Amino acid sequence: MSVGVEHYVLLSLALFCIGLFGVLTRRNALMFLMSVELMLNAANINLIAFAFYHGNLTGQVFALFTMALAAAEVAVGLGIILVLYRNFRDVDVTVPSEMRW
Amino acid sequence: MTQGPQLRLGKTMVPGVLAVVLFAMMGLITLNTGFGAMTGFPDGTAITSEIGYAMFDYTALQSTEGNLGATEPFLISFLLIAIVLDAALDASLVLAKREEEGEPVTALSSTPDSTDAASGSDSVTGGPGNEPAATDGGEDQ
Repeated sequence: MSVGVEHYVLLSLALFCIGLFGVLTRRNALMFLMSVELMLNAANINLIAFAFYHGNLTGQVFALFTMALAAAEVAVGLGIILVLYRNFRDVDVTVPSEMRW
Repeated sequence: MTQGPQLRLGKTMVPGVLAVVLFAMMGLITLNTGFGAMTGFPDGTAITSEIGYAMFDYTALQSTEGNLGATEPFLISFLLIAIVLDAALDASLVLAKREEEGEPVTALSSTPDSTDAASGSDSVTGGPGNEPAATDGGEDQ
């Protein structure tokens, strides 16, 4: 194989940092959610790359479970954003400052 | 009010420098680490069926058909993830439900939207008697 594991690590690192950049700079809750998804997918790339690196399939199976967890997280996250919009007429994450209103 | 995705340059981008610095630092560490060659999977191995054997604890099939060692069984994790997905579905339905005059309104029903957009700070500082803006939707039209 010509592609070493460090290239996969760099790719996932780039993806994670793009997600982190989004989390740190954005205020739109939907953008927040997308950035968190980018960070989760960076972890998936690492899992699959190192599964190939070590020659067993544990990482690949684990990546499947991570995708299912990401789906669950998106379901709850979108529900929270829906409630956020309903109560504040906005999806800005800096507007709600308390847990109850 | 946030209208949509837009690139805002200026002070809001300052925390993003942290992400760039993290990328540079971790990239240097990655490039300076000697990882060695990939082990890879042996030729003629059906990866998909191997994943299935690992996911459903078919260890007998794993040992005879597959020549990929040391893949752990994942049946318990599979069941736990199924429960978590079910809980997430329930949670999203609960979050999407709302009440209008004591009557629960399902998630997909639509009512004429009220035009008076309440600002966020009003709702934050509103007392317990203050109803959220969405619950009086359509009343004043």
